[in-house]
Amino acid sequence: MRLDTACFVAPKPKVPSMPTRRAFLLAGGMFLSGSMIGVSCGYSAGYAAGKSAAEPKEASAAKAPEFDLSPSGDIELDELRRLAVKAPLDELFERGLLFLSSRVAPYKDDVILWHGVDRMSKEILDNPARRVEPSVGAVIIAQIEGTARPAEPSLRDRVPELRKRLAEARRK
Amino acid sequence: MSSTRQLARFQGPGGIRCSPFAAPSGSVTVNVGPSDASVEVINPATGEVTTHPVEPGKDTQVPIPNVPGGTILILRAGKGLNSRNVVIEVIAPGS
Repeated sequence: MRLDTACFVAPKPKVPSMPTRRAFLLAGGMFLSGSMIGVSCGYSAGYAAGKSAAEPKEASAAKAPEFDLSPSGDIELDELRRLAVKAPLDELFERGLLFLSSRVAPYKDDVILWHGVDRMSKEILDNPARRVEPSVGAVIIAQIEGTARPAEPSLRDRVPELRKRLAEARRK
Repeated sequence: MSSTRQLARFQGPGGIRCSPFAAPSGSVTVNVGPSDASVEVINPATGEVTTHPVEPGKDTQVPIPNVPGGTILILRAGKGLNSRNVVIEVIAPGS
């Protein structure tokens, strides 16, 4: 019996380009780096968005301090002042006629309530989508024309535009 | 015209109803709720307020001040935050 050598051709085993441990460390490092970059970008974007959203509030809050909304001892007046200064515009317009008639009498001389007239007239001009009862619009104009305080010339300047806007709303 | 049919032409929330127009120095028919005994006529342009007694639940004639045509007036029944308001326009005869 004779033994012959035989050779078998086998594919060369592929040597990993990188040892598994090193690859794991590299991937982990990249993941951590990406996470850190993402967190820092997200924080920056969130901070910027939060700051811009907070600015209008700060601006409106900056207006508010000129009004003293501490309890006056008159519940009705306090509620009307709240409507004038703090209440959402929807609520102010919903109770517009009550607010406007009360501003004329008995609270004709209350300066804070004028802020409600200011807000309503500004909203009518700035927001075309705002639905305004014709009667409310007419009373706003009448109040501004008839009894607007001398310190509020800007209100009178709005009257022509208010008339135009309310006439348009009536035609619709 | 029956009172019911007449009121159908009226405007206003529950508690006060009246015609939306009136003549200067004329009067307007107002119908208020059973708990109101008076109506205030408010001129928002001048701040002038006049109070007129009315019959609760019945049609009452409320005098209109002598104001120029086109003047807006508020009629108010009740007091404070529970008051009900309607707006009328004064129209000069012939306009």
